[in-house]
Amino acid sequence: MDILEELKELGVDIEDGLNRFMKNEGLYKRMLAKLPSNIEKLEILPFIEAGDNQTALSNAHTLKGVTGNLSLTPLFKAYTDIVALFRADKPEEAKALLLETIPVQDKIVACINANNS
Amino acid sequence: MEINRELLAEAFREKYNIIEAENGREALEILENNEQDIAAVLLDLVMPELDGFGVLEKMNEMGTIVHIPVFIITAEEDESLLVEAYRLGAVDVITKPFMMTFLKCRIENIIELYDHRNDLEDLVNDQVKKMSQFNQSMVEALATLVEFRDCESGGHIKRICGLTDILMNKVSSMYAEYRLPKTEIDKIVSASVLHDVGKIAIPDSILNKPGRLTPEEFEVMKEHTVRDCDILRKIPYMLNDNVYNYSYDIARHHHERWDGMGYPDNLEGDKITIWAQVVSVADVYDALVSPRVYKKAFDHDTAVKMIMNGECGAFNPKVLKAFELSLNEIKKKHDEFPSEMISMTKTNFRLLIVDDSDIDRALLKNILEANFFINEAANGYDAIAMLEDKNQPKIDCVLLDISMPFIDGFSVLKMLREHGSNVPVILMSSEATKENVERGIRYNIAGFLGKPFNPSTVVRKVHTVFSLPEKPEVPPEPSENDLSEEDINKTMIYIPADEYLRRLSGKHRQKR
Repeated sequence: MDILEELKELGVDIEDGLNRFMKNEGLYKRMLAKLPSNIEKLEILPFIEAGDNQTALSNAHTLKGVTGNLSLTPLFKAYTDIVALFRADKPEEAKALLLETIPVQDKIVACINANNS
Repeated sequence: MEINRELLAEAFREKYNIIEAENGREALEILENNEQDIAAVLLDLVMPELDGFGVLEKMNEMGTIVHIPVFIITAEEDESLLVEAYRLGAVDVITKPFMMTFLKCRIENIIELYDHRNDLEDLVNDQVKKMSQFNQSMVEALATLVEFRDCESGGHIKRICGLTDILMNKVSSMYAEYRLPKTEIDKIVSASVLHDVGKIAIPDSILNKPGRLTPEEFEVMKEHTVRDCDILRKIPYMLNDNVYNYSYDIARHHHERWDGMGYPDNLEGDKITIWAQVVSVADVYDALVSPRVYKKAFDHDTAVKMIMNGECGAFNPKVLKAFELSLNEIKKKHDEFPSEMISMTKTNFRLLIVDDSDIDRALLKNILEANFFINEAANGYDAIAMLEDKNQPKIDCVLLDISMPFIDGFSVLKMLREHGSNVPVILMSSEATKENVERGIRYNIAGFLGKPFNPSTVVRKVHTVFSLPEKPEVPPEPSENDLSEEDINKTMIYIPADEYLRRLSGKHRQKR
């Protein structure tokens, strides 16, 4: 199955993504391939646990932008809410939502990694 | 009489091939089968089955009397009969008995004259055809010049003619009520060339606006149908042209809708002529599959789906059926003259995209590189270095992310303004908050782009930049009432940037 079809089954809005990338499917797939390294670079949980909510917020904010532009709808919605919770000074609730989001995120990352290899 | 035929054949056998007929009916059969090869007819008046007058009448009906000379060879002396023969188109009446030498001279002289006349007619027809083609080429050239204004390459005219030809023929063959002879369809195809000539009267700012038109702008754009007609009426040649009525009607009514909600005359149903209906569908299809300043081209299948689903206007179901049955031909015609966008700004403007996300930079570049040169920077310091390096090509606009490591977008913006740079800056963020926008406005940003990006919004905002004044004011020092960074971060209010800028309309201009 094509990676886009697999991601569609995981809730990614492929049509929205292709429209944003002006139907340039090759470019869209190349940018999707960058997601795993972006997520690895922008850790959030360790910073929450270390009490550095500012860095956690900043990384969540960046991931919100990245997942939005890639039309990774379930992740975009989650990071939007996580950022809002940080802004509202609710880091524990942000952490809880992040923990719920990570399994979904891991599936999407695994799908992309499998297609990359 | 056979002996008469033999005598005459003998006189002309040396120079001509001879075909003989015993009676008028046989003569007509031979004429029908050999029309192009007959130099002259030597015709008796009194014959069985069909006499000479009958043959002359039939030749008049067939039109062959015009280019085949007919000589009456007769013993008849009744003046009234001979006059009748002349009236029916005979070129000469030779009474019997005749002198063979004189007969040959009279007939050969006339044959030579007819040959010259026929050659001249062919020459004139050829010249008329060439003149008509030249006129048509000039009209197409005029229409193409108009199309160039909205960055179309000129293929649009050829494609519209091609699509109109395909659809008109289909509609005419499918539905008796829309049946038209080929000559009329050819005129309609020629007439379709000038369907948008009125666009020449529409300002560039509206014609080439890279985004949705305001209601006022749309009213101006709608005027092009009426302007089409004004222009056509003012061209004397057009008034005398046999396609004028079609040109006028198509130009005025190709934006009417089947449901009466079109313009300029709100015509409904078959009150819209079938040719205007056909050009309307052709025009919509071509617009969908062609790139524009505010969108890329849709592929053929998507465009067809949009038209058939009624997403692009209301059309006659019969015309849609004809369209559906012509899709292969339509696609082939489109591929003959592919759509291409002429870039207005590629050679003039350079953008700098500043964003730590390589995904966001790639996305923006993909949207904008068709019309702009693109530089990139992954952080604010690299961006400032690039902008201040006099050896680098001039940057005409910066797309600047707010949230970046090392130095954020606002700090970059402040540094640029303090260093005297007035380069237009469009701020970008996934949080188009009131504070972010207001803060940007204090530094005289040219716009604000929210993430995730909408390609048409990106294009529109970047295109709009180049109409702003050149010298923004240096922003005042922040007052003690301004929120601190910390307060800003704590009290974000989510509001779409466009909406906030509209509410502030005029405010940022006062500061310029």
